[in-house]
Amino acid sequence: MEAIQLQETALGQLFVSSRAIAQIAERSLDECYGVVGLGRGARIRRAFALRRRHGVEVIPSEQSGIELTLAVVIAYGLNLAEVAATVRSRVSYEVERVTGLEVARVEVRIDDVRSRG
Amino acid sequence: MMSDLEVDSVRASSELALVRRLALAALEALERERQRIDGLNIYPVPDGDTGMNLVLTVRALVEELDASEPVEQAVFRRDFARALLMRARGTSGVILSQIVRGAVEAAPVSGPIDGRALATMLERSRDAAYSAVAKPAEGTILTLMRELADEARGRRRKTLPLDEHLDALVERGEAALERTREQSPTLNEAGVVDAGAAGLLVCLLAIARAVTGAPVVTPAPALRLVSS
Repeated sequence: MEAIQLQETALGQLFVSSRAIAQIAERSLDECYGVVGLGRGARIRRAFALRRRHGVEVIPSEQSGIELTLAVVIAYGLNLAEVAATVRSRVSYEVERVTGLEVARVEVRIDDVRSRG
Repeated sequence: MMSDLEVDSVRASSELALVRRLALAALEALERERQRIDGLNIYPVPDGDTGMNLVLTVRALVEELDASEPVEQAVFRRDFARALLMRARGTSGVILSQIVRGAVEAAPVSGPIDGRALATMLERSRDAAYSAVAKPAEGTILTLMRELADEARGRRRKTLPLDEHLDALVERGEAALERTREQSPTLNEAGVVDAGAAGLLVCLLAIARAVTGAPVVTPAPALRLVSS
């Protein structure tokens, strides 16, 4: 499990796992309007694929901060571009607010479109 | 004597004119309150654009109506709902377009809108709005929509003029908007009501006034405490 450094102080370093960040992103995704489920995320490694839910991939950014890939299922009939834009802004805001990490990039992948239930 | 097609065309053109008048009233009210609504927008992302998104969404709606020909009613309703969804802006705009789509789809094919029809329309609006979210947060435009549908359902057997039903809905909406302050920890901390819910209430108020012909009071009562 990849660990990402949050802080370095005189007393030591503080790390957060990419799994913890993924969970924060997932909780935020659940409340995003238009998102009715999480996708599979083809680029996600096997370790992630074993988890109960796997719509979020977190990787350290080459410059600073982290990059997120969000694989989602959107409700049928909605404007996909508009929903994707609000998903991007909501999830990156929430992850930055909770972790203090900079979210350098968010890729939103719409895996499927379907009615709820 | 008019053929069925002509009757349908007259019906469609009067429906178009009515929807257009109500949409225009909502647009004008949103334009007046835009800054106040933007100022409330601290959740889920404090980007202060809820009012603008609602204005752009309803403006697109009015433009669609201006461009619409009075076609067969079913065709009009289908095209209108589709255009509305495609041109919605922001989360609050997308939700508002679902609300309008539900109401238009459930509106009676002919005859006046009575308490029962109003309840059917608002329940369909609520269901359309809730159908596109996995875990709805409380204290949002969705909560307000649900309370409006509950109110309409509770009153559906009362034979009252439409404007009295609408007045009761506005009253319930104002109380529900006030409660959003307590329903969300984020709103509670900031001491504000929800921006999207406020926008929906502004629309409802404008529509109620347009139906009764009463002048619109500005700012809307529920927004009086909010500085612009």
